[in-house]
Amino acid sequence: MCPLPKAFEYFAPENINEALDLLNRFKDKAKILAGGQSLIPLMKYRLLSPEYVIDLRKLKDLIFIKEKDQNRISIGALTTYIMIEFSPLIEQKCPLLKEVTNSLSDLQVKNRGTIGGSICHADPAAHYPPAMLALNAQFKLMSKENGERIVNAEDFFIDAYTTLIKPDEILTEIEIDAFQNDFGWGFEYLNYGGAGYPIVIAITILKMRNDVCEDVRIALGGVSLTPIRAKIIESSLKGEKLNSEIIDKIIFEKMEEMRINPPSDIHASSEYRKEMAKVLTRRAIKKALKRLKGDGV
Amino acid sequence: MSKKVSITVKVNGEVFKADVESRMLLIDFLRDVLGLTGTKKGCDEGKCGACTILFNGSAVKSCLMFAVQADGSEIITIEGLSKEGKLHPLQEEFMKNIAIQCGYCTAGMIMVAYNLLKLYPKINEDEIRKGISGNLCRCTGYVNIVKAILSAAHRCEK
Repeated sequence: MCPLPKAFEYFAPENINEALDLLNRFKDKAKILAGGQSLIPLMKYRLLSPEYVIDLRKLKDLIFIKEKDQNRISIGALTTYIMIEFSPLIEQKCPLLKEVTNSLSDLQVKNRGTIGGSICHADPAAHYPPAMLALNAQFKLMSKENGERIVNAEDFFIDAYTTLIKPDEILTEIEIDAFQNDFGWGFEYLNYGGAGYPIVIAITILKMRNDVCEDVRIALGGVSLTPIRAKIIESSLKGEKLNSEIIDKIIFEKMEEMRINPPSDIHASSEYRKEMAKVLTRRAIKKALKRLKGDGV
Repeated sequence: MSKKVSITVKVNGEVFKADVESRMLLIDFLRDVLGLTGTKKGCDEGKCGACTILFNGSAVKSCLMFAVQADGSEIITIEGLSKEGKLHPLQEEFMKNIAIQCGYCTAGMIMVAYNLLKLYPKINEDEIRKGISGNLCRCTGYVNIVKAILSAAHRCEK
C-alpha cells in the first residue's frame, strides 16, 4: 500500500482568473491538478509534496474540441482522453490523434486523464508529447503577470518531466494541425504489455507528389529524455522517390547520424530502443504511404 | 496540518455531506467513512483497477482521486448496481459464467464493464479484452470474465 500524500491545502477555483491568482500567490509551492492520473500517484509515492493543490475541475471552459480554421484544431487543456477518442471532429480531421489516444493507457485513466495534464507532465515515454511534435502543436500558456504566450511544442519539452512552463503559468489550450486528404500518416509503438507506457513510439506524417516525397514529419518518443523530431531523416526523405528499399536505406543510415542515445531501464536497453526506433519509423512511413495510396492498413 | 474541506457527494442515490482532510483518497472515503466496502483496494497505485467506481457515469479508479475532487458529483459503487433487490445483468452473468475465483477483482471488473457496455453497445471480445486492460485478476480468470461481459452485452442489446 502507498502512504497517504503529505497534507496539503486544497483549492478549487471557479474560473481561470482565480486559478491564475492562486498560482501567482503560491508559485512552485503549488501544483495544478487536472485529471490527477500522474500527479496523484507521484504525491502518494511522495516524489512530489506540494503545499497547495489547485484543482481545475470547475473550469469547464477549458473542455472543448473545435475547428480553429481549415488547417488547425483547437483543444482545451482539460479535455479528457476519452473525449478526444470519441470526438467526430478528431476522427474526421485528425485521425492520427484518435489512433494515438485509442492506444494509450486504460479506460479508467482515459476517463480522467487530460491532454493538458499529459503534456505538462512530459513523461519521456508518453504518447502525446511526440504526437504534439508531429502535429506542429502550439500551446497557450497563461499567467497573471504576463497574460498569455504561445509556445511551439518543439521548444516546450526540455528534459524528462520538465517543460519550459513557468511556476505561475497554466496551459489552457492546445492547437494542432488538421489533416488534408493529401497527407498520409503512420503511428507505431512497442509496448511491454497491457496498459503500460510504450518503449518506443514513431509517428510520421507524409505528403507525396507523383511518388516523390514532398513533405514529411517524423516524431519519436521513448528514445530520448524528450520527444524529438527526426529532422535528418526528414530532409533525406524529401525529394526522394519512395519505395521500400529507399525508405529502409535512408532510415538505417540516417538514424545512426542522429546519434540518439536512449536511456536504458528495466524494460529495454539503450541499444534495443535504438534498433526499435529504426524498425518502427520504417513501418510508420510505410503505413503512411499505404494510406495515401488507399491500400488500407 | 491541512484544513478539512466540506464535501457533498451523491453515492448510490443517497446524498452524503462530510468534512474530509484534503489528502483523503476517494476509495478511503467510500470504504472507511461511508462503510461501502464492496469497492476493493488492491495495488493502491492505479494499476489494478480493483477500486473502480462510476464517477458521473464514467469508470474511474477511486485510489487515483481525492475525495475533495468528488464534491458535487454522483458516484455509483458495486453496492448501487442492483435495483430493488434484483441484480444487474452483469452481476448475474458473472455468477452464471463463474467469472469469480477469489472475488477480489470482481467489483472493479463489473464497474468497468458497466462503462464499456455504455460506450460500445455492440461490443466484441477484442474490445472487452482491451476495455478491461486496466483491471487485473490475480487468479488469471480472464476467460470467464470476458464471457460474462459478452453475455451481459448480448442481454442488454435485446
